[in-house]
Amino acid sequence: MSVTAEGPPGGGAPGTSGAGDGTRVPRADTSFERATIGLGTSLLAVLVALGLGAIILAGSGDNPLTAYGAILAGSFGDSFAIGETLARAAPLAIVGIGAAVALRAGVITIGAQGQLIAGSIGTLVAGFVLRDAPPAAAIPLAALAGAVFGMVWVLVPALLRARLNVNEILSTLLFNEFAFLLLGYLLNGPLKEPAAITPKSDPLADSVILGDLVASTRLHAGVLAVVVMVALFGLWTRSTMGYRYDLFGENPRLAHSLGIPGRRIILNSLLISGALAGLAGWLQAAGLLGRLYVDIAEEIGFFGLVVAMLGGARPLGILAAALLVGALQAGGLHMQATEGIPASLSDVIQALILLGFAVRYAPQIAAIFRRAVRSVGETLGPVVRHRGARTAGGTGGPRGGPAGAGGDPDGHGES
Amino acid sequence: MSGDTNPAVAFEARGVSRRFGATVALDDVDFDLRAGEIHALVGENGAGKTTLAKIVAGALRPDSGTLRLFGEPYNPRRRSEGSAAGVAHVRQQLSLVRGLTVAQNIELGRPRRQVAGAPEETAAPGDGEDASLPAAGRGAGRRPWPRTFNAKAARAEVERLAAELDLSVPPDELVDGLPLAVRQQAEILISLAWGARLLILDEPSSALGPLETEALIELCLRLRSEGTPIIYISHRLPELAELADRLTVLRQGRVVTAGEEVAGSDLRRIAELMVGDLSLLEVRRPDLELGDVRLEADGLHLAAEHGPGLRDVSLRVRAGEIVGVVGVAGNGQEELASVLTGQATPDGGTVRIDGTDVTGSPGTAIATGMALLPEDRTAGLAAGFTLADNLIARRVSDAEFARFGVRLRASVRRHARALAQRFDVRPPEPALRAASLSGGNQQKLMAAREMERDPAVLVAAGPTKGLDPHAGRAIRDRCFEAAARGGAVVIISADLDEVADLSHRVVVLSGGRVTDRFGVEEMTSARLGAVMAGLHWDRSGEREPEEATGGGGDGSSADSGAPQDDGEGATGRHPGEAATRGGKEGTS
Amino acid sequence: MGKLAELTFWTATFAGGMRLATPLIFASLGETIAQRAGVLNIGLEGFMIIGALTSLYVTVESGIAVGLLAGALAGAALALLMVWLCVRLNANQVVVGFGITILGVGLTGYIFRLTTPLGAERRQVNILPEIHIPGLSDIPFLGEAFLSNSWMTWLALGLVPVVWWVAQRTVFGLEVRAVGEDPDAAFARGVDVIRVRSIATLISGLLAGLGGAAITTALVGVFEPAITAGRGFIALIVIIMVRWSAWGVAVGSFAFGLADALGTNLRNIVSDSVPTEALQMIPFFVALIILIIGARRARMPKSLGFNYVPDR
Repeated sequence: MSVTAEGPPGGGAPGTSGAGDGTRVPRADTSFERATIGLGTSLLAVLVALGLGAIILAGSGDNPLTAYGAILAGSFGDSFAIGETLARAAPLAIVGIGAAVALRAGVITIGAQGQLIAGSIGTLVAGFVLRDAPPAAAIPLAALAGAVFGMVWVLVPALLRARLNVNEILSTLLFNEFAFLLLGYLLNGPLKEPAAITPKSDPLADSVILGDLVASTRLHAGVLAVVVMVALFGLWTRSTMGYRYDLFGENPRLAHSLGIPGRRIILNSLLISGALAGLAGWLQAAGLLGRLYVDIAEEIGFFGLVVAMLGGARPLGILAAALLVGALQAGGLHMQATEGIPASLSDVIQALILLGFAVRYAPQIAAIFRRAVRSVGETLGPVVRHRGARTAGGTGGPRGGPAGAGGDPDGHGES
Repeated sequence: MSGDTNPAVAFEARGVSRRFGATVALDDVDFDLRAGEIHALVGENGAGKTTLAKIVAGALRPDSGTLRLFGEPYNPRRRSEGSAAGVAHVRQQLSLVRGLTVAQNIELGRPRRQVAGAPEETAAPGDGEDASLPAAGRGAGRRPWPRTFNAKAARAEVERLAAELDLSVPPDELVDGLPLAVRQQAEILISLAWGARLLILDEPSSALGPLETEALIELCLRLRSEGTPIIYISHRLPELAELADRLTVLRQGRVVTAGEEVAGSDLRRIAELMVGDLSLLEVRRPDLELGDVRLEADGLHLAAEHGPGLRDVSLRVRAGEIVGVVGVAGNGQEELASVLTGQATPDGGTVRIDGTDVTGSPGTAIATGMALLPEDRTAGLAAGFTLADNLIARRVSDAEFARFGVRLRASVRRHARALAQRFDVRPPEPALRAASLSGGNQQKLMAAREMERDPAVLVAAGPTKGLDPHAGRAIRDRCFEAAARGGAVVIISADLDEVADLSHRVVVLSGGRVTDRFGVEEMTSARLGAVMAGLHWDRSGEREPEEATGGGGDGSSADSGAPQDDGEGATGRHPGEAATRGGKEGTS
Repeated sequence: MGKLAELTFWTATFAGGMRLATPLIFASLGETIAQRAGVLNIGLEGFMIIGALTSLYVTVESGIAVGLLAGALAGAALALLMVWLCVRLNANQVVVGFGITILGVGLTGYIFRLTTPLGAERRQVNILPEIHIPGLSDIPFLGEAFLSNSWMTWLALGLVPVVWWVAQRTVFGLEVRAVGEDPDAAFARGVDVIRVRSIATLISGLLAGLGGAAITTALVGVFEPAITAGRGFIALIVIIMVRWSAWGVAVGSFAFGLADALGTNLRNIVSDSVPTEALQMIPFFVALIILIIGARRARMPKSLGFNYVPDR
C-alpha cells in the first residue's frame, strides 16, 4: 500500500519537526539494533573527541601522546589512580541516576550542584548530632540526612514546576547559586575552622566518616552505595512505577488519559533526583574529603547530567559513562600535575564526546528528551493546552488546543 | 515527450513514476490539464493523488517522466520554484503560518521573481524581472537585503484581491484565529497574489461544512471563468459532478481512467474504479438491540479559552447503541471527548458509566471499562515505546504482568504478540517501536489496547479518519463489535460520512450545544446543513481535523465531507457506497 | 544605613546597573532572535565566555576594535558549531547547548591556564571609560546615573531599536517569526527554514560573543575562569520575562544589572550587619521572582526547542 509511503501519522523521528509532507518510510528500530549501534558509535564518539583533543594539544605545542599517556596513567595506571577514578565516578554515577529518573519522566534538572552542597551540609549536621553514636547507626543516618537535605533543596523548584509551571532548568540553576553562597557563608562564618586560612569546616565527626576500602588510595567504602543505586535503578526501569514515569515522559497526554497523575510524577522525579544528588554530597563529605570545602561540589552536578545523557538514561550506560568521565577527570588532574597541561582539557574532551553523542543519537536522544524539550517549551511558555499538539512527526510544540478541557500541561485538569 | 506544445494544455505529465523506498507511489502516470478547466483527480487514500500533486507543485521530483507547464519544459526542484512558475498548491493542512496575520503571510516566501504572464493585477507596470514584483514587495524589492515589509501595501493587496474575488478575508487577523474556511480562502487569495496560473486544491472540502463547501465550489467556478485551471483532488464524487469538467482516476499509483468528461459519466462505475473492491465500502452496522443505559452524561458545562466549550450537553447511550456526535470541527467535540472520558473536569454536570461517577477522573473511567480512541493518534500512543509496552499500558500492574511491582517481560511480550495478531496489527512484532507502524496499524494498535476487553463505553473520535479502505473497515468493524457485545459507543466526528456509516443515532453539536438529535435514517444533508451552519461558531480555526493528525503525512486524507443534496437521500457520499448500503438495508 | 538615603549611592547604583546590564543586553538580544526562530540555545554561557576571553586577548595585542570583533566572531564560531549540530544534523538543542556551555568554559579555562601559568601576570586591559556627553551627562542625577556610559553600553542600547526594526519591519524578521512558530508552514510557503534558523543562531552567537567581550573590556579588564558567572542563564530568564521583545530586553537586563549593582554597593554599607553572601544573592533572588512571574504570562514561539527536518 502506498499509504505507508506517504507517511504514517505519528511516525518519524520524535521530537523533531517532521515533515508535513512526510515521505518517510517507517524503519524498524528494535532494541537489539539500537544496542548494537550504540556500542560502536559510543566508541566512535569518544575516539573523535580524543582526536579533536589531540589537535588542540598539538596546536598548543604539547605532544598529544604524552598528554593522553598521562591521563591514562592518572586514571588506570596504578591502584591509587584506579581509586581516584572510582572515587570520582561514584558521585557522578549517583547524580547521573537521579538525573536519569527525571529525564525519563521528561524533566531536566541542572540543580544537582546545589543539592549536592545541601547534602554535604546535611551530612555535616548529622555528624554533629550523631558524634557519639556508633558508626553502624551514624553512617546510614548521615547518608539519609544527605539525601533529605538534597531533597529539601529541590523542593521549591519542584513545587514551582509542578504547581506554577516555572522552568526547572533555570530555577534549579538559581538554587545552585543560593547553595553555593550559603555554603560560602557557613564556611566563612558559623562553621569556619578557626585556624584555617582557606574557608573550610571542622572535620566531620568520626562516627560518620566512611573508611577506606583499599589502603593508600582515596577509594572509600561509600562507592559501594553506587552498586546499590545502579541495582535499584535497574529495578526501577523494570518496575511498574518506573513504567508509569517513563510513559509520562514519553506521552503525557496518554499518561493522563490512563489516570497517571502528571504533577505528582514531575514533583517526585525532581525529589528523587534531589535525594540522589544529596547522597552524592554525603559521599563527598563523609567519604572523600572528611570535611566541607567551598568547592566540595566541584562540577559533579553538571557532569552527573552529562553522565546521564551519555549513558542514555539507562543503568549500565550510566555506570560506563561515569567511569569514563571519572577517568578523564582523574587523569586530567594527573596530567596537569605531571605535564603542566591544564586539566580543563578533560572538560573539553567530555564536551566533545557529549556533542558527538547528541548528533549520533539524534533520534534516540530525542526520544528520551521529547517530553523534556516540550516541558522546556511549556515552562518557557504559558500554561499551554497541548491537546491540539501536532503529531510526533509534527513540530511537537504545544499548539493551542482547545482550552478548558483540562488546563495544565502536566495533568490535564487533575485537581 | 509529446512534441506538440498545445497552448490549450496548461500542464501535462508523461510517464511520471515515483517510488518511496520499496513502495511505488506513482507508476508511469500520464496526466494533462487543459487551460481553463477544472480537472478532478480522484482516488482512495494512498492512490497517489497527493504524490502527483506534490510533483506538479515542485515539492517532489519524479523518478522518471517529463513535465510541461504551459507548453514549456517544467522541472521545479522545490516548491518555491513551482510557485515562482505560477503553480500554487493549496494543501489539505493549509500552509499559512499561524502566528502571523494574513497580510504578513502574503509577503512571507513570496517568489522574488514571478514569471511573465502572471495575472495582470499582481504584476507591476513596466518590464524586467524586478518590476514584476507585486506591489507590496516592490518598494524594497530592488534592494537585496534587508527587504522591508510594507504592512500597509500588503494589507491593501489583501483587501483588493478579497474584493475582486468577493471574499471576506481580514488582512490583519492572526491566521490562528480564523475559521478553516477563511484560511483556505486566504491561502487561495495569496496564491493568486503571488501570480498563480494554475491551482491545485488538495481535498479542499474535507473539513468544511455544507455551506462552506458550496462557497468553495462557487469560488472555484469563478476562478475557472477567469481562466485559471484547477486540479481538484477529492474522492467525493457528487461534489465533483457539480464542478469538475473532467476527471482522472488513480488507483494504487496507476491511472485507471484518464481525463474522462464528467458530464455523462457513470459515477458508480467511477467509484468502483477508484476502490477496486466495493465490498470494502459496504457497511454492516449491527442491528440496534438496546440494553440498559451505560453512559450517562448530564448537563455538562465547560468554559474554554478558545472555542465554545460545552454548554449544557446531556447524552445517554445504551448498551448496543452507537451514537454519532457530529458538527463542524471546533464546536465542542474535542471537549466532549475529554469530558466523557474523565480527562477534563467539567465546570458543571456529571458523567456516569454504569452508574459510577467518573467525572474528571480518567483512572475511574478506565476502571469501569471506558475505552478511548482519540482523534489525534499521537495522544493515544507512546510512539517511542515498543508494541509490547504500548499494549499493556492499561494493565501494567495486573498480576499477569507484574510481580512485586516488577514487570514480567516474557509475559508482556507473549501478551503483545497474541493481542497484536488478534487485532491484525502488522507486523505483530512486540519489540517494534510504535512509531514505526503505519497510520492504520497505529490505529489498530490503539484499538487493541483499548478494546482488549469488551469496553463498557467506547468513545471514538474520528476513528477511521485518514485510513486506507482496509484499515478503515477494520476499525469500523471494531466499533460495531464493541456495540454488538453490549458496549455503549460514541462516535465523535466532523465527518458526516463517518457518522452516517457508523451510528444508529445522531446528535448535532454546534457552538458547544446539542442543537439537534435524530435517528440516522433521518439524517439529510439539508437538515444537517441548516443545523450546523446556523449556529456555526466562527472561531473554530485552530482545530480543523487534519491538524490533529496532520504532521505525519498529508497523503492520508480525511475521508470526510459534507453532503450535498444529490437526490440520493442522505447517507452515502460515495455513490457506490450508497448503493451497497441501500442494498444491504433493503434486505435486512 | 543613612547612606541609603543619599543620592550619590543611588546614582552610583543606577550607573552600575547600566554597566552590568550591558553584557546581558547583547546576549539576550541575540538569543531573542534565535529563540524567535525556534532555536533554544542553552549554550549562551559558552558563547559569552569564549567571546570574553578572545576579545580580551586580542585587545591586548591589537586594540579594542579588533578585540571586540574577535570576541563576536569567537561567539559566532561556537554558534556555527551549534548550527551545524542542531540545525543541520538535527541534534537535540538542550544537549548541544549544555555541551557547548561545558566546551566554552573548558576551552577558555584551558587557554587561560596555558597562557597564565601559576604566578604569572594575567593579561589585562583598561576598561572602557565612560563617555561624557556635554549637556546630557551634566543633567543632575539622570546624567550621572543613566547618561554617562561607555560606548559599549551605548552600542548595546543602540542595537535594541535595530533588532526591533529587523524583527518587526523586515521580511527577514517575518521569516524568523514564521520558522519559530510554524516551520512546516513556513517551509511550504517557500521560506528556507534551515537558512533562516542558521542565520538567527549565528546572530545570537555574534551578539553573545560581544556580550562576553563587554564583560572583559567594559566591566572587569581581566579574564578568569567562569567569569561570565551565569550571565548566559540570566539572559535566558530575561527573555522569558520580556516575552521575546527587543525593547523589553533592555528593560529586563537593566533590572538585573540594577539588582547586581545594588548587591555590590550595599556591601560597602551594611557588610557589618549583613553577610556579603546574602547581598550577593540579591540578583539571583530577583531572577527567581521574575522567573516565577514570567512563567505565568509568557507566550513562546511555538516550535521553540524543536528541530526542523525538511521532508526532502
